[in-house]
Amino acid sequence: MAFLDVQDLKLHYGTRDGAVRAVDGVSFTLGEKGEAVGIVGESGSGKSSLAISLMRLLPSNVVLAEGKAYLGGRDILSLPSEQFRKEIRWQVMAMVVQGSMNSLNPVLRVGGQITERLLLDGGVSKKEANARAEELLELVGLPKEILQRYPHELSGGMKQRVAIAMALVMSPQMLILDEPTSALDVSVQAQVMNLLKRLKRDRGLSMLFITHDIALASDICDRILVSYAGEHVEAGSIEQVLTEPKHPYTQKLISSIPRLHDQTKPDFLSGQPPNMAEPPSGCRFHPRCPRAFEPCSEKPPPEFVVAEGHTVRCWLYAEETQSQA
Amino acid sequence: MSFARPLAIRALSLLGVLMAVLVLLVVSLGATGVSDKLLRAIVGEEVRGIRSGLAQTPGIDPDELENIVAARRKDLEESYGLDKAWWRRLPNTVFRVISLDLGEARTLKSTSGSRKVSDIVLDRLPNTALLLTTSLVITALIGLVMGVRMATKVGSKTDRILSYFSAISFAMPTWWMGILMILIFAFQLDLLPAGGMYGTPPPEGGFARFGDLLWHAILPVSTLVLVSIGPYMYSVRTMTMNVAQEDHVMIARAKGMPEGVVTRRHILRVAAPPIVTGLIFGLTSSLGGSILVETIFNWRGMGRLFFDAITGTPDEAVIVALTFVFTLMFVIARFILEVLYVILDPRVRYN
Amino acid sequence: MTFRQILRELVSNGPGKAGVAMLVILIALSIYSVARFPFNFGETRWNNPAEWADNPKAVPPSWSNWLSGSNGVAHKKVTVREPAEVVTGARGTVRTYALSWDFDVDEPPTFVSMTVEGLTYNVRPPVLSFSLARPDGTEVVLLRQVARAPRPGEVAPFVRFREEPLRISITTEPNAINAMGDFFRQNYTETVSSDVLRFSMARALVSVPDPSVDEDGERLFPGGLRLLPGTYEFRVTATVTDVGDTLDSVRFVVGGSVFGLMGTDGLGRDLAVGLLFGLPIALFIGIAASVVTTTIGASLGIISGYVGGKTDLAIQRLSDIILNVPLLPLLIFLVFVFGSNLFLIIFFLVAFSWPGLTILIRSMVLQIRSGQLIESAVALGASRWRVMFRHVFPHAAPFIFSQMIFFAPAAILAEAGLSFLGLGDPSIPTWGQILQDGFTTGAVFLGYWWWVVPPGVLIMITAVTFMFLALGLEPVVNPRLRRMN
Repeated sequence: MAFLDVQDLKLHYGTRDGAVRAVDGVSFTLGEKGEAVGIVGESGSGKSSLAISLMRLLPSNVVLAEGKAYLGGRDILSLPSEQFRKEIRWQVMAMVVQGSMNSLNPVLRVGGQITERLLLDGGVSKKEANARAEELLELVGLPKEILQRYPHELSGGMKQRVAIAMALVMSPQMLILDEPTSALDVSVQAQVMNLLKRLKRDRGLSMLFITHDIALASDICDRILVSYAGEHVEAGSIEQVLTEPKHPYTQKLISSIPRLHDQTKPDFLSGQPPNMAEPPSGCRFHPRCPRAFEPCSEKPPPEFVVAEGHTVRCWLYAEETQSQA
Repeated sequence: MSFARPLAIRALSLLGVLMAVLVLLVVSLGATGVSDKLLRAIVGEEVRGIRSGLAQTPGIDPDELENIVAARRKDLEESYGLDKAWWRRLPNTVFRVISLDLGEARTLKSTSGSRKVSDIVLDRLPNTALLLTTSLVITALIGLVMGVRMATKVGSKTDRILSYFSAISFAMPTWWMGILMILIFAFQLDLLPAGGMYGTPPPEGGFARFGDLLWHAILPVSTLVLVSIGPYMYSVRTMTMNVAQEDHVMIARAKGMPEGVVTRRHILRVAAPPIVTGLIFGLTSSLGGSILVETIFNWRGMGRLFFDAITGTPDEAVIVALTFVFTLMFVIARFILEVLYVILDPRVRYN
Repeated sequence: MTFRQILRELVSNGPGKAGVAMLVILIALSIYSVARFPFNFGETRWNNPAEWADNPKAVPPSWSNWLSGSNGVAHKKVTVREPAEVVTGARGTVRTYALSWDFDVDEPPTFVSMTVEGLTYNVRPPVLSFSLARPDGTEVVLLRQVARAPRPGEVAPFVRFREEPLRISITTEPNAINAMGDFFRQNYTETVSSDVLRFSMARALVSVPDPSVDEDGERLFPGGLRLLPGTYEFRVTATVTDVGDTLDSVRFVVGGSVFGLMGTDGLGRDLAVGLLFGLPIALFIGIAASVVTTTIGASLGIISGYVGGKTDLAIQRLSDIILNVPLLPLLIFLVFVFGSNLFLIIFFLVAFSWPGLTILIRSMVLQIRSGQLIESAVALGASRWRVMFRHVFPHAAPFIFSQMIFFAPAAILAEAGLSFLGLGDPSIPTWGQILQDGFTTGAVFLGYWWWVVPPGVLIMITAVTFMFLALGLEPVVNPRLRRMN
């Protein structure tokens, strides 16, 4: 049984121009322990909204939030909020967000921020909590003196490691990583990725890895979900998606990665991401799609299974397979 | 020490402010000739007195009288320093003032009858302090509670009504608010005294006297509170809202921290430095506003004293001394602000 | 963002809409006011007591009748140019100028005056007579006056009362008061003491003596004078000997107990006029001070942030010092020393207000400067000034613009505060000065609300207009808010 089973998740924001469909019917599963699923898409494609939907951190302008997310057989999205806060947040699912600069409280010492949640329920002494924090810092490769420091005294990479250590404090089974490395220098980025891979391998942490960088996702993920305009357009194992991308959008994403020793020039996607308040009819990608044909602008494509565990939403594959839905 | 350095820098800069104000005082009084004019007027007045005194001496020779008067005038001009140019004369005044020797007033007096400006100031200072601190505490308490409430319910009816109230409160001239208060509560409803600090005759006994003082303070204090609370409330709202949108607040919620802890530890604690700054900013501006409020309510404080010194018979010594004292009070308030900021915001300590 | 887009954003929210509407009204009224009053209105009219002599002093606006339910006397001021009657007799020609006046309210007028203008005679000085015909058929001659005889060497025609019209204040003129006393003695059985007459002459003019008392011995009518309603006629007769003798006009004024749209102040000045004149002044102070302040503040901020180095340090130090100076006490001091000229006041306001913006803009520029756009412009070889004003400025422009609007009410309030302390420019009446006049003459304690409330309300409305505009611009300046709604 899957560890996390998300079904038809939707999240719409109210704006002056109408409801923006940031997440519009996304389903996926996160398998066994230690599996990492990558959610890949352009900025503005609703990836971060997926993370805050799962953590139930909805801003006040949400007009629609629905869908189910089964975790160990119960739907965590319909739990009473107080129960969700106590039992799920940080206990089962923790998150690390983009912009390491802002994810720490600027006026509190780092140590206090790491141990805060541990001390909340009682039963743990300050000393024990500190020991736990030191242990975590060691795990992420930081000296324990950091505990006494304020966030502004740390570098970007250090802060992101602190954020990861903080996420591990309650030993969650799953981490949601929202662009965890995008604000960092390339060398620091590699260090953080190595740390995450180590955590995944040694501790069996499941991960939901949200990124705009399909190459980065391929470094750590087992499965990849390509998301476009609030929907996922292709899903499959890392090998399937990278070596045999089916959806024209995925193909564009992959060919836009510059390669060493390659004669072909990187290919870029033309045009703008769609207006999420009024998405295009039919397939949402069709205005930018090089291979669009008649049905694309009329009917939204269902999910077609192109191989074992490899699905794609694109009319190009309507002939050769049968619809799953 | 991490605290000492930024504070020392600020202290130095505030000292600069004090100096700049004094230089401005001296140059504008001197270069415009106002100082000379004021002193000549004093000398002229005294000489007139001497002349009329001498004229009554029986059998005095008119030439002799003129000689005596001329000699006296010269003495007086020398004693006031009128024989020297203003840039030689006025610096002495400044050095005296800096050493807190504020000189003597010509017409103003303290309650005990002393003409020493320092006595007069000490007489008035507690009255202003009472007015300002009371209104500051009330503004702070109400402003914080309402501002946070607005920020947690952005766009709600309460938020909108209070936002409009803030705009009106900001646009309301302090002194006009005072006039309205008098018109409504003193004239129309006849509930509260329109001005002054004590009834006539003042009640006997310390406790009754203090009660009477508070009774008279209600209108001026409410005036100051009503005009400063709106902007303060709104700035608390904005600052709380800005912090509430930051990532670390989302992370704190994601951690499973209860909402109360999130608000206190992760929003208010972070917004505290600018909120406190705003409060003391408000205090320093009500220091100026106190001139108006004290004038309207006939409250014998520093502001009223300053107003009297300038609009009554202008008295150079008192004006220089009082402007200095006002700037000093202002600068001290600013320094307290700096200390609080350094305590509240660790980021300042290390930069 | 173009100006058009900003405007559209502005009118798309509540405060913005209200602000724009209010601003349009204020500007329209200002244009009317500027067109109607000369710039030297303050010196030539507002502060000239002769201009307001015929107005009642400190009376509420006409519509206050409707508020209080009482029935006040309407102010009546009529200039008569043609005689109502010309009779030629043995002693000469008698020209009668008259004003018929219906009195039907329960309050006497506040005063009565008759003014003769431009008397020309050829031979003998004419005799002027001022009288009042009462509804009961009686007539009381209040005053007789002979025009001044020719001065030695003066040649005919002799002109009198043209430069200085002959204004007879019937209600305070001692001869008229005596005449009234005589009239009562002759026509009624009851007499009225001269003390009562001196204080209630206006009442006496329209009353009959009636000393009736109630059971407690209290007088039923104040001063023993019962109001006599009916049609009165004020008359001025000129008895001339030569047919060529002329009189330009006679002005009759019956002082009302209410006046005009906004009432009058203690000098009889029409507050509606003063308040209207104050509007463009207030707008001018707000706009001039805020435009200059933001220009200086923003320029120095951009220079400080972009140029850096010693320039930055110098500007920062200077702004730090000025920002920490107590504004109002120093303003008071400076106005005391340098005099209260409106432009000087604006200058001082600007001089102490720019640093706040400079510091904000400087930190903004530091952020913008590190952006890629600026880097590329510099790499392309754009000059320093060009980069500053073509690339840095547009980023900060919406913020600067909203700060400009935000500063206007502060300037208006500061000037009003100074005026209220008696430090306003005496040649230009402002709302603050009207309030100060009211406060120092005790209007607040006498309950003259029409004198002290409207100027404050207008100051507030003007300030709130700018506040609303600034609030309406918030989504332009802070795009995060635009998404939220």
